[in-house]
This record gives sequence, C-alpha cells and structure tokens, in this order.
Amino acid sequence: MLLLVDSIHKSFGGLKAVSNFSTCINHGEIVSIIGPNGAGKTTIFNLLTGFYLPDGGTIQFHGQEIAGLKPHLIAAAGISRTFQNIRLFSRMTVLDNIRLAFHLQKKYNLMDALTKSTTFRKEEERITALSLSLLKTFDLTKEQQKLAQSLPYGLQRRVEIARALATGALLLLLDEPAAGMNRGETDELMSLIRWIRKEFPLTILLIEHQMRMIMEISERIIVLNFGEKIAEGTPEEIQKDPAVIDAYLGGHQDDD
Amino acid sequence: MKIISKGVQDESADQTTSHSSNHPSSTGRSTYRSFYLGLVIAGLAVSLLVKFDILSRYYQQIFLFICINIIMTVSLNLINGFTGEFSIGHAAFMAIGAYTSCLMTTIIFPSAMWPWFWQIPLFLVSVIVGGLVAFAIGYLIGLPILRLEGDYLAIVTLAMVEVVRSAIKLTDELAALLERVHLSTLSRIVQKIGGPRGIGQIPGFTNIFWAVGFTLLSVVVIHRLLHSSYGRVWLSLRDDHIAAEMMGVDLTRYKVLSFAIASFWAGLGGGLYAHTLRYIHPDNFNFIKSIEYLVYLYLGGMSSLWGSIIAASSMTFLLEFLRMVNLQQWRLVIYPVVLILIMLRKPQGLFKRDL
Repeated sequence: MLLLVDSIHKSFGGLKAVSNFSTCINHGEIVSIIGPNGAGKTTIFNLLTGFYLPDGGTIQFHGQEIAGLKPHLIAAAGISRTFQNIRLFSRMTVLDNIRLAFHLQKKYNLMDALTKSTTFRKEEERITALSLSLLKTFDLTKEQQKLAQSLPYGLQRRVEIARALATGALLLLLDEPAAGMNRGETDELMSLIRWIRKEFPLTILLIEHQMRMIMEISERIIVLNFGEKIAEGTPEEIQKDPAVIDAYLGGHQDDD
Repeated sequence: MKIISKGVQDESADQTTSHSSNHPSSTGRSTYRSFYLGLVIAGLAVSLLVKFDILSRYYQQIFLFICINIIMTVSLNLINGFTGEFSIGHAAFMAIGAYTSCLMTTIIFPSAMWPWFWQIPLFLVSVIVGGLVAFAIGYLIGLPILRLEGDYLAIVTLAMVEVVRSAIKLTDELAALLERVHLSTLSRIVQKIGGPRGIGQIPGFTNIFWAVGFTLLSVVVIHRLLHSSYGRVWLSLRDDHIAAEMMGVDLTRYKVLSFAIASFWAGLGGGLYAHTLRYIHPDNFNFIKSIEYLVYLYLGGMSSLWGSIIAASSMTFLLEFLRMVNLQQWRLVIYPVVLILIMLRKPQGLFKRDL
C-alpha cells in the first residue's frame, strides 16, 4: 500500500470542504476522483500535498505520516502534482523547468557552484543528461530552449507532467489534466498517462471531468459529493451505482 | 565610457543572435567575458591617464564609484530581479558594511600608523568582514520576514534603512551609557563612531585595482550562482513559488540565501565606498540611497545583469556630469523623471532578461 488516508476532514469557516475522507491506494494503480464542482476534489489534493493542513485525520505515505508536513517535504517524500491551471515556470526554458525538478538530487554545494569544481560540472552534466532524456521520451526535444510560456497549451501540459516526474515522484497527482483539451488531445493524453505508468514505477491519482477518459483509464474511481465519499469501485460498478447516478443526474443537484 | 559603449554593442549583438540561436546561455557567457575584459581595460586606461596627468584624480574617483554602483545594483538584482522579492534596504546593508570596515581600519586599528604591507591585508579583511556582517544581519532579518508572502519584505527593509541610520546616529548615547557602566575602553571605541558627526579621516584604500577586482568577483559569483541549481531555484521562485514548492523547494531557505548573498555584496560595496569617499556619515545611507539603486535596477531591466552593469555605470557618470556642469541640485529631479520615462516607454527596462 502506497497511500493510506484515514478520515481526514477540512472546513473553511462553516463550509465542510472535506469530511471523513478515507481511502487507500496501492502501488501502480490509476485511481480517479470524480464529483460535481465544489465536491472537494482539489481540496483533497491540497491536503495530500500539504498546501492545506487537515483539521483531523492521518495521511500515511509509504509508511510515513505526512499530514502536517510542509509541501516541500511532502514533495521530497515522493508526491508530485500538476495543477488545474497549468503552473510552469513561465519565463524559464523548458529544459530549465525540468532541470529545476532535479534540484533535490543535486550533490554539490554553494562552494562547488562558485568554483565550478569537478563535482559541480559532473552533477550539472548528469542533471542535464537526465532532463534531456526525459524531454526526449516526452517528445519535447525540439522545445527544450523555448520559454515555457511560449508553448501551446497541450505541450505545456506535457512539460508539467514531465516536470512532476523529474522529481522522482512515486505518486503523481493530476488535477484535471484534460481540461480544455479536444477529443484528439485527450486521446493523446490518455496514451501518455498509460505509457508513463508502464515506464515509471508510478501510481497515479487523477481528478477529471471528462467521463470518457475516466471510464477508459481508471482502474478504480472514487466519487465525492459535498465533501463526502459516496462511492468507490471499478468503472463498471460506479456506472451502475444509484448514489452516483443520483449525485450526477438526481433532483438535488444545484452546483453552479 | 569605453566599457559602456562596448557593453551596448555586445548586448545588441547578443539580443539579435539569441533569437535564432539554440543556446542563449553560451552566447551569454561569452558576452560576460567581454565585460570582464572591458572593465579591466577601462580600469587600466583610467589609471594610466590619471598617472600621466591627462585626467584629474577626480575621474579616478568617478570610476571607483562606477565599480561600487555596479556591485550594488547587480546584487540588488539578485533579490529584486532574479528571486522576485522586493527589497528597499540595500542602503542599510551598505551602511553596515561601511561602518564595520571603518571600525576596523580607522578606529580599532588606526592603519595610518602601520607599514603599508600590513595596510593592504587589513583593508581587504575589513571590507570582507563588513560583507560578512551584512550577510549575517541579512540572514537574521530574512529568516522571519521571508516566510511571509507579499510586500512585507519591502516594508521591513524600508524600516531597516531608518533603523540602521538612526542607530548609528545614537552611538554617542551608547558611548555615554557604556562609560557609566565602566566599560570605558569600549565606550571610547563607540565614541569614535561619531554618531551624527560621521567618521572622517578614513584611509583611501580603495584603488582601481581593488575596485575592478571586487566588481569582477561580484559579477562572476552572481553569474555562476545563477547558472547553477541555486539560480534555477531562485528563478523558479520568481516565476511561480507554489509550483516551486511542489518541486520540493524550501522557499524560505532559498529566499533567505539570495537575500543574504546580496546583502554580503552590499556590505562589501559599502566598505569600498567608505574607503573611496574617506568620510562617511549616517545620512549617506538614507532611503534615497536605496532608491538610487532601485532606479539603476529598473532602468537596466530586472533579471538582466548586463542591464544593471550598464545602467549603474551610465547613471553614475551622468550624475557626476551634472555636478561638472553645476546642475547637481537637479539630481532629485532627474531620478524621478528617469523612472517615469522608463515606466512609460520601456517598463521592462532597457535590456531584456538574460534568464
């Protein structure tokens, strides 16, 4: 088991954004979180990555308690994410976006950088080589010297995923990766996700609204509504679940 | 002026090539080499011309101020440009460095009585210690403040300029207090800091050799750091600190590091400044001094080392030129007008970002 979430909750003022959410995720799974707008999906991501402190409950990742740790320590522990509205380092090159992600692995200090010692040179070469090979596998070699902000949307998504992988993450959280993508781009993204899961020792948790993608790609689906988990199971089970049908099609749906 | 014209040519050449070139970093490196060479040649030229009485010593002093202002602006760029924070406190660190180094060369070890071969190491050590003290204070100030997001750094550093200036002015009171608790040796030293009277008779140790040396060192150090993993982290903080945190960047640690390194160079610049001017006064390091460096920085362009270098040198020269034609009272008109013109015509500054 990679991630064990035990009854975490989080409220903002009077609003219970997430209440008593528990789940466990095994190594190598692709799990989706779905639910209407405002159901608390992104809040769960923010709790898992340390941007919000949970009001209660525990999160164990790889046997280590991570609830309450700072985001950068959680990232170092092996959880990485992409954002709903892409957050690249817009005025840095694509290559430097990726190279930055390797900074946790660098084995030189300030003095090495100042004197350009052999350790520094070797490490920089190693980091650049790793980044270039990652860019190659993501088919981004041609874009390496372009500024991240100059890329089209679909490529920016791909750079963001590559950057998240470069941290050496074991668990990858993708927040609406197909948002704003057309059918063809979504297909491309799905094969990319399947492919990286095969190539890297990776577990993927994703939030998505595009039902076609969710049903095709997920091995397990967690359904949220008003901050609570209302169902969990394989795509087939979820499609038949009366609570889910009610949440999505039922009478009391009043999301904005 | 040689380096200025040279620099502009190189920069424009760099800009045209970097659009088509696949390796902007490598072209960047070679233009910096031309800056190093240009500065050395300009230094040699000025010192020779002064030696043969073609230029007066006054021009030598202008050259020293150009070097010091390059150090100050380039280091301010590290905080405000490359790391994306906003500090108005550079004058405070300059004051700390200036007073620390003068304490060593003028008050504690009155170097005038020393043989010359002791004076040089004393000067170098004092200037570096001045930088280190500024580094330490920058670190301590940065640690609590840089945890916060937003404009707190601007407010605190603004206050710091006033605190440092006022604290130096109060050294007479401190001396009296020390006298009363029978620490008369310490009291006599503090007395000599001179409070609002300033310190005079500082040995004029800063010469073209040391000024050029430290300027080269500062640009090399900052340039190298920017082209390492440290630099990439600073740039990532500038662009998106939430994404940086998700990449495992310890925000506070890296922000404090860049702030403290910049403070070191400001302190060192202060030491050089004091040993150029030979007389320092708390009001030399007021809020306007910080604004001066901000003007240079914005004029040259944020995140452009070249911009800082060119803007610092040309503005220093321009202001001295105003003095020559007896228009120096217009200084405080020129600064705001320059700022307004930049904001209207070229909000990015004169030079493009190098990183």
